[in-house]
Amino acid sequence: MPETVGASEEIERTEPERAPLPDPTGLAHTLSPVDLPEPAEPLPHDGLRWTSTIIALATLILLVFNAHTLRGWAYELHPTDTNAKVVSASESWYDATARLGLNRPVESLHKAWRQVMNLRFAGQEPAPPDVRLEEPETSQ
Amino acid sequence: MLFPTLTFGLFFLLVFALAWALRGSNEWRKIVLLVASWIFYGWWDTRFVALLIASGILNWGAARLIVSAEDRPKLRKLWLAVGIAINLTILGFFKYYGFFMEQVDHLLHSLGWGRDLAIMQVVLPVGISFFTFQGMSYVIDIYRRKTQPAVLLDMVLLMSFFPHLVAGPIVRASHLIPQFRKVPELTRSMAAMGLSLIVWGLFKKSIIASELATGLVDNVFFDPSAHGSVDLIAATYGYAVQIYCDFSAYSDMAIGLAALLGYRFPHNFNQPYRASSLQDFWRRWHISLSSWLRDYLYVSLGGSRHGLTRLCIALMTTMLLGGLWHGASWNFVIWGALHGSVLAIERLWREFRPKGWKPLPHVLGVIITLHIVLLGWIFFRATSFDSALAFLSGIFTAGGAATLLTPALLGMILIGMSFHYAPPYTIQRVAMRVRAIPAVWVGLAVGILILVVDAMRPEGVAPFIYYQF
Repeated sequence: MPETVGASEEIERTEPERAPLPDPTGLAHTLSPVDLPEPAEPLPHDGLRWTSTIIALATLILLVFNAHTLRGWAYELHPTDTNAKVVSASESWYDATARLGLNRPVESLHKAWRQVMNLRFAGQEPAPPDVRLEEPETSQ
Repeated sequence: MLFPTLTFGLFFLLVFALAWALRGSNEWRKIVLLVASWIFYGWWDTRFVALLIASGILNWGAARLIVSAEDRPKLRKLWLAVGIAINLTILGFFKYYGFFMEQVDHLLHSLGWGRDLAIMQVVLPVGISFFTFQGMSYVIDIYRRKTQPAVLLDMVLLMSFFPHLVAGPIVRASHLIPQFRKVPELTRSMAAMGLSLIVWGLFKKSIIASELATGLVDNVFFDPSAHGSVDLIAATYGYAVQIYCDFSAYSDMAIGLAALLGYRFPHNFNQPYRASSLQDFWRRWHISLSSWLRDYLYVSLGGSRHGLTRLCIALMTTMLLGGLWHGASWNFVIWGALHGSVLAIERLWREFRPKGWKPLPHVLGVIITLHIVLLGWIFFRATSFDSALAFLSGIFTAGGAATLLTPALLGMILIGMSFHYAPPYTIQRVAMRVRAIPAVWVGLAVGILILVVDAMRPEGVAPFIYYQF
């Protein structure tokens, strides 16, 4: 099998030109980025429960504080009877979270960020208006 | 179905729950992942799900025939050739048919034999280059006896698995099939790294790549002659940052999503713009493609085993075909030729550098390499050869102040470049800390970080650049 011999020979011949950086963790010699070295103190064997809790909590935070994304997504669905109910539910949820002021953090951050993006060098034309957090157009 | 969308988020939540609920049966788990992958792929165009399934079955069949001809070398070689030919035919028809017919049409017209050829418009299936290369690597590895034959379910799942399906990394059978043979375990380390990569990928794609694309790069490359030198230069660096933040973000998210399902994907990027030579660049950029081209094309063309001339020809051919892999366009050929030429020059310089001459200082090597890569990106991104030439000449002659480059976009270019000069393996080091933190705090942090990214991103999500390849 000359190809196999050639492949290993080729890999040997293409070693880095510079000495590698110090790598006490061994991260430079892994096959995958998710191969992390074992910690000195073993971790609990609860990976699935640990991950599921994280995903559930992150989902909950997004549901509570990011209702406008849910509303925007609902308005992009194909106009059917079922999806009309999804739109209606997302509107109700958006209104409920808005009444409690839960949409405010994302909206404030968005406005502040757009102001940064809208900064211009001297002599440049002003930025166009931002439309993202405006009311979505009703298609149903 | 794009990764950074709510539709995909809901899809993944369901797949995650089902996959781990079925951990008692590996076969059912894989069937659910396979069906989920077909739904993911069918979201674009249901017709091409059949192509994906057919491609998996054909590669599995070709590999079985090679194995069954164990003691007959000529027959093994014949089945290998058939397997490769099938893959190249699929790829060639969908990706290069239109380009080839256009060239034939131009040639006939230039010879005065012009005919109105009826050129069929072929729709390009998303990710065809990726899954075809995966299929080919399996057949070749079976022929080279470098991997064990897979059962049909594993082979079709290897090619269809949704995290890598449309834009890589190109995951080889020898890497993933052994993982499919048993129900994986989800460790805190894998999950911490997976979540870190997903959030990091969301940030790179949704903010940096999207803002640079919509605010600067797309406008400048659409009509280079309408812009001044400052915008052209900014768009050159901007595109380098955009394509890195776009493509590496897809890879990061793909690796992260696979990790949450218990599977390990290979490295695909490693701070490419800190490379001090083009050879070094290709060890850091799209690693799964460059190692594929090295192992299955460059080595098969002789590599370094037949002298310097053959080596240079092999390098040039590999990079030209690597360019054409991206698409049927003369700009990709030029991009490949530029990389092939510089790789060959680097190799010749190492062979013939006069004794006593020191190698280039490292920093100078990084600067030169980066600017060769930038030159290549202009041809890679431009819509035509003429447009690329207009872009290049405009950099030196157009003059004029910045009209599109804003302080924030300049900041993003600088931040995007700084990722390449940060300490190596920063994300891994973050994940090593995250895995020891209680889930409640990590969940809060992940939720808040995604909220911040969502608040900062511009309207809509553009498809990933590599979807077109």
